[in-house]
Amino acid sequence: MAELKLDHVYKIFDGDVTAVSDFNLNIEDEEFIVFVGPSGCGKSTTLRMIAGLEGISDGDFYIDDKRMNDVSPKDRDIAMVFQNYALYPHMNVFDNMAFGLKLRKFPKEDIKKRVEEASDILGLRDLLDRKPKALSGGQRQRVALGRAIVRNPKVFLMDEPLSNLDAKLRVQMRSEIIKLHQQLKTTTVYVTHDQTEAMTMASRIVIMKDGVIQQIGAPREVYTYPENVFVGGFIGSPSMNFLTGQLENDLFKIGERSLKIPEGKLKALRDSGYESGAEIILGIRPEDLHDEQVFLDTMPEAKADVSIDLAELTGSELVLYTKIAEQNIVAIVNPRSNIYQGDQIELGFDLNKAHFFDPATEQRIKG
Amino acid sequence: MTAHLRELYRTAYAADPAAVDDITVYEWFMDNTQHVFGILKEALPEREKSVLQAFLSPVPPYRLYPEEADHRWYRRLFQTADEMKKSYRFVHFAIKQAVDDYFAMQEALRTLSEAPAAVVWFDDVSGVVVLEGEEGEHVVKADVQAAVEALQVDFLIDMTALLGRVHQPDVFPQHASTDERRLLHSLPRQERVITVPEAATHALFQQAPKPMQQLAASIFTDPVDEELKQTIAVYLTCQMNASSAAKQLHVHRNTLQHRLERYQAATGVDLRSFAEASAAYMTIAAEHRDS
Repeated sequence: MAELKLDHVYKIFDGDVTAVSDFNLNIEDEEFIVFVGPSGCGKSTTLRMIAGLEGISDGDFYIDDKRMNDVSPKDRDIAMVFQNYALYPHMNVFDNMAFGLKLRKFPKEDIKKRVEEASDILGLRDLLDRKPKALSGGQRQRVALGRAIVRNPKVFLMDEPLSNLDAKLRVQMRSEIIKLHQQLKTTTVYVTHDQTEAMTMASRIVIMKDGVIQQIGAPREVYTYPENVFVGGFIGSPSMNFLTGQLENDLFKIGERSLKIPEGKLKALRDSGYESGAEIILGIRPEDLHDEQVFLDTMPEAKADVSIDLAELTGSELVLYTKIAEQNIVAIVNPRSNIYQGDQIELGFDLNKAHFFDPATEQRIKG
Repeated sequence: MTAHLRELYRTAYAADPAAVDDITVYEWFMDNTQHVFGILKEALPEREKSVLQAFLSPVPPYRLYPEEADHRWYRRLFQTADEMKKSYRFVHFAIKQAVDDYFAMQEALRTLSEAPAAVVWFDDVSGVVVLEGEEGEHVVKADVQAAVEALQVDFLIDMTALLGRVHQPDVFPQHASTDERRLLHSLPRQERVITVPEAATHALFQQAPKPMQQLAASIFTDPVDEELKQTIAVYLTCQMNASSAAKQLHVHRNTLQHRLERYQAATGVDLRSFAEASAAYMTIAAEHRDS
């Protein structure tokens, strides 16, 4: 069990390439923290600094109040799981799982007990004699997890552990890792590029871009209240819609169309100094766009006529692609709606759930 | 001779480094039969140590656990080559920092082949694993990658490796090893394992005079940002397969296509031309290594 603290941490390669900048984060005991962001955002570098595989250029890193900057990786009591199956190709499953314990001079009986316990948790009991080549991708990744579990470390560090698995297996392993965490309660830092993994697994998400933290929060919080355009666009699939338009009295104008801004949102805009004529960005989730008559009747001033470019029925939902003033919009509506490509429909905007962003800073306007 | 020393130093004498708890409290020596033994440092005055060092070979910690095959390959690499019957292949490795337990490290390195492989250390942070006969012919880059990652996880070290070529028994091991070892340094920063053909491509570019490298950079990389450079590097390493590259970059295929078009527009480089694509690849890889 452990608490981690990163305090103004930087990683600068060879004096001029800043990979991570002013990273501040307190990770609580038993938390499952996910670092998410596009490739090159600094998430893996941060994880490697926590592991001690990369030096910290500036700032401090603590585990349970003990400064770790200069502590050797092997003395940090952490266990890592990588994207690739980190297994010795000619050792069987038992020996692969036992090796880290042998190295740490655990007694033989203890090693056997730990490997058997971990293999029971991971459903590997019948595979202990097999070599990695005789295992499926999912089984190999389970062994890689097993190698970390047997150590019973203070912290698990996982770097894209599911990236090499196919989509179905990824979903299955995702829930297995969550269950595992509920069972072991070991503080975990998990790195992924996949926002769905982040949303479904994390107790808190750290969203990064260009080495800088964009937002830290619980999945629902970052989804509902994105701090900026990047977070709004990165978290959620399909992504949040962004429409650039003008504030005109109490209306948001996009080309010829206008939507009435609710009282609360308008006040926030005014309090932040946005006057009539100001350019702003509207951010609205696809599910906050509506085609139901009830919605259109109750919100008559927040709807627009649109032409449907494409209607995709996925089964559980109907995804509509359209444009307003040459700006793309994606809406998710009830799959029972009879809407087809080329249809002209009215689309209602639930602006109470939408956000406005500043076009220059791309930050959410909070008021 | 060791029998005499054993009698002389009694409890301070250790016959097997693998059997002691802490190797660092001993001075280790090898006799002319290649037997390794240790004598407790506290039982060995400076004068006696000097005498033993004059008659025996001192053994550093990374050479404490030799098997017969290790001796054989040490001789082939550093002394004189004997006649060999099997082909052989090297996996050269380097670690960023010395490890505490060379015995365990060697055990793990030996598992690169089905039968325990020979391991020869050059110093405390680099060495070579030797795979003989079919073992060497069958090993692929992914096996080495898996093992290197397993070693990194177990020892929490930063490790890189180069998978050498298969050499026939008439090729002098010293030459084969020296040539390949040089290539390990041409590994791009984000890679952990590289093969000889890959490394040779990078090494070739490094040999070009600086002004030529700068000229190449001004054509292939200067006009674009990091994201675009990385995209092109991944696209080219995926054999220009857009689907695999998009998957590896975690972007939609259309996004990748858009970036490729942006690259072409910014640089004027036609990635469908083999000559231009290969030059772009080498220039980008060289930048990754330098940065």
